[in-house]
Amino acid sequence: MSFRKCISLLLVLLPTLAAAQGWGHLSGGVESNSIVYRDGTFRSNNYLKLDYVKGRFSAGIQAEYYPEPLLGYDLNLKGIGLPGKYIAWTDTLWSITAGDFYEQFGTGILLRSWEDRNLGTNNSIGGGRVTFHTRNDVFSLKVLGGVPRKYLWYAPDQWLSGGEASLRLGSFLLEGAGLVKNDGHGTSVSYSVLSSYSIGGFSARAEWVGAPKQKGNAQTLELAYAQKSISTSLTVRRLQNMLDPMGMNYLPSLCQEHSYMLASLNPYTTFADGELGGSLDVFYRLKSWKFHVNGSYIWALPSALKDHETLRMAYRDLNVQVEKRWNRSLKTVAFMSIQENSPTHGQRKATNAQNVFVLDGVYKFKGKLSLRAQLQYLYSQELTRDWMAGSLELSSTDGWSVHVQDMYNHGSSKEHYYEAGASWSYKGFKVALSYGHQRAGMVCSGGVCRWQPEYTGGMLRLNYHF
Amino acid sequence: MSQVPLQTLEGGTETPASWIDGKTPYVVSFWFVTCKYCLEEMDAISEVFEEWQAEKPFRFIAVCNDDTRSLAKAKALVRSRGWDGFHFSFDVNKELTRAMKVTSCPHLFLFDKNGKLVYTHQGYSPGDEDVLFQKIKELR
Repeated sequence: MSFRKCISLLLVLLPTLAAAQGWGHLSGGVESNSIVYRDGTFRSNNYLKLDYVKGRFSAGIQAEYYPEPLLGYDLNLKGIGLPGKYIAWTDTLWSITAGDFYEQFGTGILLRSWEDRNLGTNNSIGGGRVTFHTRNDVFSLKVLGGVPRKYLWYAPDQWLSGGEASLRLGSFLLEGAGLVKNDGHGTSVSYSVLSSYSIGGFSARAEWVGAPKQKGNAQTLELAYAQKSISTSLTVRRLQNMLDPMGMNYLPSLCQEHSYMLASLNPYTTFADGELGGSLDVFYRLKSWKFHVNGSYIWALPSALKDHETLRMAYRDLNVQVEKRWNRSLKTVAFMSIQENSPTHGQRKATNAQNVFVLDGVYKFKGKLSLRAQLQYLYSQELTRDWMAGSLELSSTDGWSVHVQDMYNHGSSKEHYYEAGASWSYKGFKVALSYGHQRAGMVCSGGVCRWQPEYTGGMLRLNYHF
Repeated sequence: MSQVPLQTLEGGTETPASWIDGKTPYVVSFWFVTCKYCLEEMDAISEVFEEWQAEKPFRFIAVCNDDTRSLAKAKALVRSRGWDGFHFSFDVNKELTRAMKVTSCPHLFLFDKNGKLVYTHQGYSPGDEDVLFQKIKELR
């Protein structure tokens, strides 16, 4: 029996045996993303996660293997390692964790350790954490200390420790957090205070973060009001000098993250040196119609500009989406986005404007099949000028789907960026195979982006969990 | 996993252990605000949710795994979308997402009334909701 078959058999048998014997519960997940590039090189990112729980005790590992990391990921990841391992005890009112864990204080501007495999982000903390909360969660406390992950091991000479306390009285919440970090060049202290309140359909949240050593601070205000068919939310944020050399904080872009190909061609990334901006959303539903209007506007702060002149526009986007369900078989979406961005985050006055138009529809045939189609157009008089794009996807409730898509820069380079692929899923297993020519650009997830170089190749994605 | 802390729509906290009531099965579906397939799935289930409740009662727990920046937007969205009868939970630092090995959305899990996992499905194609309801009806 081959090594792979042995592993597969073990992954199925172990949890079954453990459950049958009352040994607790074992769960796991395997993810493998591999690309064969046109020049013949093979690159692959592979993850294995196992968690064991018995009563209040839990333990787990995450193993990662990069024979060669995919293009766009840090090449220092190359190799095999066990960057995730922990044991934990979770009691009724307290818990203790030793090993590698993830944590977030407030909105994450002070501290966020998290994993996003699409971005290649994993800044888990290796150390210890103790949590405590009273019954009904009126008061809770977290204390932690450790060293951040770097590549497949830990960052040398770096450490952090901190705590967060929160007081909850009905729908009123007050949180305070403090963090001491050493980035290898010195120790710094930072803090945050967060408060939130909600009543009926209204909710508000405000946070202040300070990092005195680097003269950094950030203020966030969120307001939301929701009714049965109309609701709105507003987020405003100002930040200055908040770039963390250890990469342990979370500074997402507040702008709408678009899923349509052409609308996400030039996304905005947060200007950590200094920006002020906000995003307003309005959702409205009228029978079978659904409307969504979003407006985002970001300025660079004068203190972050070389000429220190004045607030200067870094990005703006006004987008409108109208959905209509015509019957149980047909749904259509019309979308428009008017964008203007400064590629220098306002350092220079020149900006690029682009208007994106999308028609999107999905039709369900009688039986198991459905067809999804998109037509997109980007109009611009700058940079790469006009683009057009289209996609078709045929899927079945049996779990398989096939798709083709093409993005064509007919205004300038005359280049096609195409992809064709198929996927199949069954219970906890999913496999997807595709071939295409991908454009160089930013890949974003959760308001954070990474650079993806241009490539042509075939991709295989495997995913299994139990 | 059952003790992972989550936020509720009303601003409180809860754990997955509180979803087990010993009376009705429940569906846990992971979604995020800009996931079009997730919104389609929840729209489709919402349209027939009341009708299905009369035939075979079950609960639908929508776990939003957006980061905190989208929390206000997610709360506004769920109110306006007309997803009546759903329970909403927010996994802002993806702790439950990691514990349940969710790597893409939508990803749903069907648990019986005692919290035992009986069915899971990744992605969404129109009509998948009928397959899900068939699985729910097969439960005792």
